Amino acid sequence: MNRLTAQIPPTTGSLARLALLLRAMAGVDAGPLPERWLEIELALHEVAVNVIEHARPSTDLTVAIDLTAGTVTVDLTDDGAAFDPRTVPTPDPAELPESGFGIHIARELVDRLVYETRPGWNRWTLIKELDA
Amino acid sequence: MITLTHTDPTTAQMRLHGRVDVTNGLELRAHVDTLLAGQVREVRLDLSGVDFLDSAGLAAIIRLVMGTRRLGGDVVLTGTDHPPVERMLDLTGFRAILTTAVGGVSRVGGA
Repeated sequence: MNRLTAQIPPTTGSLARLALLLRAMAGVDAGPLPERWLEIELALHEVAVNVIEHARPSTDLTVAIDLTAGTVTVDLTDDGAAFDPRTVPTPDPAELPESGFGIHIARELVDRLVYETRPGWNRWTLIKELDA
Repeated sequence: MITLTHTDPTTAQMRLHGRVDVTNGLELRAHVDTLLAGQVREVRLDLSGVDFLDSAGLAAIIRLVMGTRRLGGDVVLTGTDHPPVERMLDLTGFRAILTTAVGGVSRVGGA
Protein backbone atom coordinates (compact mmCIF):
# COMPACT_ATOMS: atom_id res chain seq x y z
CA MET A 1 0.00 0.00 0.00
CA ASN A 2 1.64 3.23 -1.13
CA ARG A 3 -1.11 5.81 -0.81
CA LEU A 4 -4.13 6.37 1.40
CA THR A 5 -6.59 9.23 1.23
CA ALA A 6 -9.53 10.13 3.45
CA GLN A 7 -11.95 12.90 4.25
CA ILE A 8 -12.39 13.58 7.96
CA PRO A 9 -14.61 16.03 9.84
CA PRO A 10 -12.69 19.03 11.22
CA THR A 11 -13.10 18.07 14.87
CA THR A 12 -10.74 16.70 17.49
CA GLY A 13 -12.85 13.55 17.43
CA SER A 14 -11.22 12.83 14.07
CA LEU A 15 -7.69 12.70 15.46
CA ALA A 16 -8.00 9.00 16.29
CA ARG A 17 -8.90 8.38 12.66
CA LEU A 18 -5.68 10.06 11.54
CA ALA A 19 -3.72 7.79 13.86
CA LEU A 20 -5.49 4.74 12.42
CA LEU A 21 -4.66 5.82 8.86
CA LEU A 22 -0.99 6.14 9.76
CA ARG A 23 -1.11 2.75 11.45
CA ALA A 24 -2.60 1.23 8.29
CA MET A 25 0.10 2.79 6.13
CA ALA A 26 2.79 1.55 8.53
CA GLY A 27 1.31 -1.94 8.33
CA VAL A 28 1.02 -2.25 12.12
CA ASP A 29 -2.31 -3.66 13.27
CA ALA A 30 -1.59 -3.77 16.99
CA GLY A 31 1.12 -2.80 19.43
CA PRO A 32 3.33 0.25 19.33
CA LEU A 33 4.33 1.89 16.07
CA PRO A 34 8.03 2.11 15.18
CA GLU A 35 9.67 5.26 16.58
CA ARG A 36 9.72 7.22 13.32
CA TRP A 37 6.06 6.50 12.70
CA LEU A 38 5.29 7.66 16.25
CA GLU A 39 7.07 10.91 15.45
CA ILE A 40 5.00 11.33 12.28
CA GLU A 41 1.85 10.55 14.28
CA LEU A 42 2.60 13.25 16.84
CA ALA A 43 3.61 15.80 14.18
CA LEU A 44 0.43 15.18 12.16
CA HIS A 45 -1.66 15.30 15.34
CA GLU A 46 -0.22 18.69 16.30
CA VAL A 47 -0.72 20.12 12.81
CA ALA A 48 -4.28 18.80 12.65
CA VAL A 49 -5.12 20.27 16.07
CA ASN A 50 -3.74 23.61 14.90
CA VAL A 51 -5.91 23.47 11.78
CA ILE A 52 -9.05 22.43 13.67
CA GLU A 53 -8.67 24.97 16.48
CA HIS A 54 -7.28 27.96 14.59
CA ALA A 55 -8.16 27.65 10.88
CA ARG A 56 -11.65 26.44 11.78
CA PRO A 57 -12.49 24.78 8.43
CA SER A 58 -16.10 24.62 7.32
CA THR A 59 -15.80 21.35 5.42
CA ASP A 60 -13.99 18.06 5.85
CA LEU A 61 -10.22 17.92 5.95
CA THR A 62 -8.54 15.90 3.22
CA VAL A 63 -5.64 13.75 4.29
CA ALA A 64 -3.36 11.92 1.89
CA ILE A 65 -0.56 9.68 3.11
CA ASP A 66 2.07 8.45 0.66
CA LEU A 67 4.92 6.04 1.28
CA THR A 68 7.47 5.97 -1.51
CA ALA A 69 11.06 4.79 -1.34
CA GLY A 70 11.19 4.99 2.44
CA THR A 71 9.78 8.50 2.62
CA VAL A 72 6.42 9.28 4.18
CA THR A 73 4.59 12.32 2.85
CA VAL A 74 1.38 13.48 4.49
CA ASP A 75 -0.78 16.22 2.97
CA LEU A 76 -3.50 17.79 5.11
CA THR A 77 -5.78 20.15 3.20
CA ASP A 78 -8.43 22.46 4.65
CA ASP A 79 -10.61 25.38 3.63
CA GLY A 80 -10.18 27.39 6.82
CA ALA A 81 -8.45 30.66 7.65
CA ALA A 82 -4.95 31.20 6.38
CA PHE A 83 -2.09 30.87 8.81
CA ASP A 84 1.50 32.02 8.59
CA PRO A 85 3.69 29.56 10.51
CA ARG A 86 6.63 31.96 10.20
CA THR A 87 4.90 34.25 12.68
CA VAL A 88 4.79 31.58 15.39
CA PRO A 89 7.59 32.25 17.87
CA THR A 90 9.32 29.40 19.62
CA PRO A 91 7.98 29.47 23.20
CA ASP A 92 10.43 29.97 26.05
CA PRO A 93 9.99 27.02 28.47
CA ALA A 94 11.40 29.10 31.33
CA GLU A 95 8.20 31.15 31.23
CA LEU A 96 6.13 27.95 31.64
CA PRO A 97 3.88 28.80 28.67
CA GLU A 98 0.70 26.77 28.33
CA SER A 99 0.40 27.12 24.56
CA GLY A 100 2.28 27.74 21.35
CA PHE A 101 4.26 24.50 21.12
CA GLY A 102 2.23 22.60 18.52
CA ILE A 103 3.84 23.81 15.31
CA HIS A 104 7.26 23.94 16.94
CA ILE A 105 6.91 20.26 17.91
CA ALA A 106 5.70 19.27 14.44
CA ARG A 107 8.61 21.10 12.82
CA GLU A 108 11.11 19.29 15.02
CA LEU A 109 9.68 15.83 14.37
CA VAL A 110 9.69 15.75 10.56
CA ASP A 111 12.34 16.43 7.95
CA ARG A 112 10.23 19.07 6.19
CA LEU A 113 7.06 20.88 7.16
CA VAL A 114 5.59 22.91 4.30
CA TYR A 115 2.60 25.22 4.40
CA GLU A 116 0.86 26.55 1.28
CA THR A 117 -2.17 28.80 1.13
CA ARG A 118 -4.43 30.54 -1.33
CA PRO A 119 -7.95 31.90 -0.82
CA GLY A 120 -10.16 29.18 0.62
CA TRP A 121 -7.45 26.52 0.45
CA ASN A 122 -4.57 25.62 2.77
CA ARG A 123 -2.27 22.62 2.72
CA TRP A 124 0.24 21.35 5.24
CA THR A 125 2.78 18.82 3.95
CA LEU A 126 4.83 16.72 6.35
CA ILE A 127 7.77 14.80 4.93
CA LYS A 128 9.85 12.30 6.85
CA GLU A 129 12.38 9.69 5.79
CA LEU A 130 11.92 6.45 7.67
CA ASP A 131 15.50 5.23 7.42
CA ALA A 132 17.44 8.48 7.71
CA MET B 1 -7.00 8.82 32.22
CA ILE B 2 -6.61 10.27 35.74
CA THR B 3 -6.22 8.64 39.13
CA LEU B 4 -6.03 11.14 41.98
CA THR B 5 -5.17 10.51 45.62
CA HIS B 6 -4.93 13.12 48.36
CA THR B 7 -2.48 12.28 51.11
CA ASP B 8 -3.19 15.45 53.07
CA PRO B 9 -4.94 18.75 52.26
CA THR B 10 -1.93 20.28 50.52
CA THR B 11 -0.44 17.15 48.96
CA ALA B 12 -1.73 14.96 46.15
CA GLN B 13 -0.62 12.09 44.01
CA MET B 14 -1.87 11.98 40.46
CA ARG B 15 -1.40 9.24 37.92
CA LEU B 16 -2.09 9.76 34.23
CA HIS B 17 -2.46 6.89 31.83
CA GLY B 18 -3.34 6.22 28.21
CA ARG B 19 -3.64 9.12 25.80
CA VAL B 20 -3.27 12.55 27.36
CA ASP B 21 -4.09 14.98 24.62
CA VAL B 22 -6.43 17.66 23.31
CA THR B 23 -9.39 15.29 23.45
CA ASN B 24 -9.23 15.00 27.24
CA GLY B 25 -7.06 17.99 28.12
CA LEU B 26 -10.05 19.95 29.41
CA GLU B 27 -10.85 17.16 31.86
CA LEU B 28 -7.28 17.16 33.12
CA ARG B 29 -7.27 20.94 33.30
CA ALA B 30 -10.45 20.84 35.42
CA HIS B 31 -8.74 18.46 37.85
CA VAL B 32 -5.73 20.77 37.95
CA ASP B 33 -7.86 23.82 38.67
CA THR B 34 -9.71 21.94 41.43
CA LEU B 35 -6.42 20.98 43.08
CA LEU B 36 -5.07 24.50 42.90
CA ALA B 37 -8.31 26.01 44.19
CA GLY B 38 -7.97 23.67 47.18
CA GLN B 39 -4.48 25.05 47.85
CA VAL B 40 -2.76 21.78 46.96
CA ARG B 41 0.86 22.76 46.45
CA GLU B 42 2.80 19.50 46.44
CA VAL B 43 1.93 17.02 43.71
CA ARG B 44 3.63 13.81 42.71
CA LEU B 45 2.63 13.14 39.12
CA ASP B 46 3.19 9.65 37.71
CA LEU B 47 3.41 9.59 33.92
CA SER B 48 4.61 6.01 33.54
CA GLY B 49 1.27 4.89 32.09
CA VAL B 50 1.05 7.62 29.43
CA ASP B 51 1.34 6.20 25.93
CA PHE B 52 0.63 9.41 23.98
CA LEU B 53 1.19 12.99 25.13
CA ASP B 54 0.54 16.06 22.99
CA SER B 55 1.11 19.76 23.57
CA ALA B 56 -2.39 20.21 25.03
CA GLY B 57 -1.81 17.47 27.59
CA LEU B 58 1.56 18.94 28.43
CA ALA B 59 -0.06 22.36 28.79
CA ALA B 60 -2.31 21.05 31.56
CA ILE B 61 0.75 19.68 33.35
CA ILE B 62 2.52 23.02 32.96
CA ARG B 63 -0.55 24.73 34.41
CA LEU B 64 -0.27 22.50 37.47
CA VAL B 65 3.45 23.21 37.82
CA MET B 66 2.94 26.96 37.51
CA GLY B 67 0.07 26.94 40.01
CA THR B 68 1.86 24.88 42.66
CA ARG B 69 5.02 26.95 42.35
CA ARG B 70 2.94 30.09 42.80
CA LEU B 71 1.74 28.55 46.08
CA GLY B 72 5.32 27.83 47.14
CA GLY B 73 5.28 24.16 46.18
CA ASP B 74 6.07 22.11 43.11
CA VAL B 75 5.16 19.12 41.00
CA VAL B 76 7.51 16.14 40.97
CA LEU B 77 7.19 14.15 37.78
CA THR B 78 7.86 10.42 37.88
CA GLY B 79 7.75 7.81 35.16
CA THR B 80 9.12 10.19 32.54
CA ASP B 81 11.73 7.82 31.14
CA HIS B 82 9.80 6.43 28.20
CA PRO B 83 9.46 7.80 24.66
CA PRO B 84 6.03 9.52 24.64
CA VAL B 85 6.97 11.62 27.66
CA GLU B 86 10.71 11.97 27.06
CA ARG B 87 10.05 13.18 23.53
CA MET B 88 7.76 16.00 24.67
CA LEU B 89 10.00 17.13 27.52
CA ASP B 90 12.99 17.26 25.18
CA LEU B 91 11.25 18.92 22.22
CA THR B 92 9.77 21.67 24.36
CA GLY B 93 12.79 22.23 26.60
CA PHE B 94 10.71 21.57 29.71
CA ARG B 95 13.11 18.86 30.88
CA ALA B 96 15.42 21.63 32.12
CA ILE B 97 12.62 23.43 33.95
CA LEU B 98 10.53 20.72 35.56
CA THR B 99 11.33 18.63 38.61
CA THR B 100 11.66 14.94 37.89
CA ALA B 101 12.39 12.02 40.17
CA VAL B 102 14.16 8.78 39.40
CA GLY B 103 14.68 6.19 42.11
CA GLY B 104 13.32 8.49 44.80
CA VAL B 105 15.78 11.30 44.02
CA SER B 106 14.21 14.56 42.80
CA ARG B 107 15.98 17.25 40.85
CA VAL B 108 15.07 20.25 38.76
CA GLY B 109 16.17 19.68 35.19
CA GLY B 110 16.81 16.04 36.01
CA ALA B 111 16.67 13.10 33.65
